[in-house]
Amino acid sequence: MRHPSQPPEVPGAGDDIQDLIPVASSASGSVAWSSSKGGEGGGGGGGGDSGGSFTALLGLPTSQAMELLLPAAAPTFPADPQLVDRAARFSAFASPSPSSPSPNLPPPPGSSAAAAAKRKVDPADRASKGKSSKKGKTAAASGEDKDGGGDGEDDKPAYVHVRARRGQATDSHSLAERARREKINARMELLKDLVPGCSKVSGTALVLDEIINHVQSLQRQVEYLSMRLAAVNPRVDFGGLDNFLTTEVTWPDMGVNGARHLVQLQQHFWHGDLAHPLQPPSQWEKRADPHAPVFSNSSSSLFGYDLASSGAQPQTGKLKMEL
Amino acid sequence: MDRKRTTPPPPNPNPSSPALLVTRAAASPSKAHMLAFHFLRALSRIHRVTPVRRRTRTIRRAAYSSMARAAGPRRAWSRALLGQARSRRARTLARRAVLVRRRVLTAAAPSSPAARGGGRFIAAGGETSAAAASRAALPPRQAGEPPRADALRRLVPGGDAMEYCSLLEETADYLRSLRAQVQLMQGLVDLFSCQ
Repeated sequence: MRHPSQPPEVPGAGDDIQDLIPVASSASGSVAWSSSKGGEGGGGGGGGDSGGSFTALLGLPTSQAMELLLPAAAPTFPADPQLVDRAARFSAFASPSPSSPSPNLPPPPGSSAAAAAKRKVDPADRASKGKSSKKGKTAAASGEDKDGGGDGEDDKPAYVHVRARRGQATDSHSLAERARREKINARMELLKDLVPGCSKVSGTALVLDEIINHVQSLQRQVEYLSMRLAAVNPRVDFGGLDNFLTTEVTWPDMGVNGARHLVQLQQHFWHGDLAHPLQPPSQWEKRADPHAPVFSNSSSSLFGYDLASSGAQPQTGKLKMEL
Repeated sequence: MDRKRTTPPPPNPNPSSPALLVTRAAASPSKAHMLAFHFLRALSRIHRVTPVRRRTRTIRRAAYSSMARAAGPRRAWSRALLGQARSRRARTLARRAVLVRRRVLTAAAPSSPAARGGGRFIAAGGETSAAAASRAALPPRQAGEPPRADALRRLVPGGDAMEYCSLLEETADYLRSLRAQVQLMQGLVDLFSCQ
């Protein structure tokens, strides 16, 4: 939690902007402002993410918000709310020294307004990098270097920040290459975790071979299982199975309880017991929808089961949102 | 990507509280549920409609389609898979329409439909060959990738047009999805065979 003795413009690092609002309202002296802020903050905070609450905070004129949030209000600060948001977070990062935001703040607003949007990533990252660097030389080298690289490639929308180690070339080409190599290595690590038996293999070519073999074996398994499924007894009703699947605990756990539930379900179907809900597992009974035709072949049965009264309509809406 | 949800949803004693249900369901059905939903629906339709001879192929295609639908359009491989399925369906429909037309017109007038039907058929065939040509004429820029990468490109759907870096990422996601699909199908087979 926050200490009440701390000034409201410097909350703990990493705290959400939303938290600034109650702190500000509690610590602020002006009653009128705090009451309006409380209402707006509550509405903004409840309505959306931190960006939304911050723009609610900006229902206030920008200068007042700046006074509240930044220890030294930069006069040439652009009125872009998103940039302001970033700067506020940035001040939260650099909390120990209130003077450190100010020397770093003028350079980004000093840049052209057209590049202001692109520089959004820069101040926050630069602050965090500067804060966490150990060697001064490394920090200076990487700082200048990112500046040079950043000004050189102004057409790219996002920056890739790579730490330039001691003794390594620092021009933009090798930096980009190094970034790419690091990305590729990171992805190879992910793949090695996914493919079983791949962590003890060293060397990229062998790992790739293993991955290819694994993908091929999985595809062959799909083929084989589809052949077996094609031969399944057509009397079974597949459409009602998804009710079972919503209530089952985990996928990997399908071994022990899963088989038992599955067999019970299957027997129900085979005896033509489609009229009433499944009895034995009690949690199914509680969740069973007594009036809707849950076991019909309709495709909405899966989610019509979860959202009992709302039916399939919001669910298809949700599916559309997901997709 | 999101993990499969492991906690069962709490039993709801009051089924007519839509707010509660909506807020609970706002944590979205997990990817495994989406997979099961699409695949089972397709399976029931296949068992109803398709004759026994061609079921394996259809079920396999339904498996890949349900994998792609569960993954969402944010992934390049899922978009490629769904695009493949769509073009295949369009092609078979076009070919079927052409054959029907040919048969109908040959019954009516023997001379002209041969040329017209042939032309249509050639057009349909040409469309696929043009698509294949455009696919082959797109070699992506490969800086330091190993030579084995093209085998991976062939395996992962839509892998031809990707850079090596994104190919690896897509492979990881494809692998996860494939594993989930295999688990689902294995579970179904176990269900229906351990009677």
